[in-house]
Amino acid sequence: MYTVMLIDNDEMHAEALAARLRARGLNVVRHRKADHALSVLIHKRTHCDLALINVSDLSQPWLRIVRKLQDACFSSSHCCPLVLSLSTVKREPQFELQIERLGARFVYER
Amino acid sequence: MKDSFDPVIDKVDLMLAELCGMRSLGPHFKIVHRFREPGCLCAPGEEVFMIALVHHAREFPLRLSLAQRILFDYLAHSRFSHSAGQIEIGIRASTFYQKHGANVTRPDMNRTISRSGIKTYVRRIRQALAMAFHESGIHADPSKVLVAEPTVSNQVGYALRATCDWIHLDCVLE
Repeated sequence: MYTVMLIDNDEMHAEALAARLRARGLNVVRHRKADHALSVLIHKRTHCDLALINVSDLSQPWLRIVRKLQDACFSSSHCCPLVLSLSTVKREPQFELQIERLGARFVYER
Repeated sequence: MKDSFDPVIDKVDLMLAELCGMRSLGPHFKIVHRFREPGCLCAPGEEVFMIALVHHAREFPLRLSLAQRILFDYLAHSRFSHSAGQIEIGIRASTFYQKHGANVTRPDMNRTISRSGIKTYVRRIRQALAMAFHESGIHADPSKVLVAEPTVSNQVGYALRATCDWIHLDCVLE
């Protein structure tokens, strides 16, 4: 069974998405904050296959957060999630490009 | 019933397929041969011009020297492991590598791969793989992509655990 780490500070959104993912047979681990997810990844050596990050909150430096998440995974060497950033608000193409240049994928929820 | 999560679920499915492919087959590389004579594929006289990791439809070129590109190309053609001695003989016996780049008649386009140098080339290819993996965001171990398989003796067999596509660029004679 694949494990998905869901980083989402929107409680209702996270709950609904986690339910959809669980219905597809995925194990979902939820975190409200990226910092908390990072610390769990590094210190508790948990395993996950995919990391889903809700980047809808425009006030957060998401590119830096995604980079930190990837660096943490590279240095911990026990966990190698593919990263998918999702947004409920339309983001400019430049943001998508920068996210994809980090090796993550981006999806816009219509 | 469609809802706003459908694009997310589609993307998750795509990434799980990607993950599954990567775990079972390894990463994907594009190997570019240039100076092809029109109509030929992997024929003697071509040059192994460039090797790139392909991830998320983007290319991440491996920073390899000519000899390392030749060794990578050789290993990419076989799914079996080869000892250093077998690689040396295989490259020496192949007209593709013996006439490497000959379509443009430059004498420095060829390399002799010696058995004793293969261990070093393997180490450097792994370094180039590590750089490309880091650049692309793939978390993969280069020694599990270019693997060294032990045998019952002290000999080691080298094999590439990856998928490759060969792209050919035509020879343009002026």
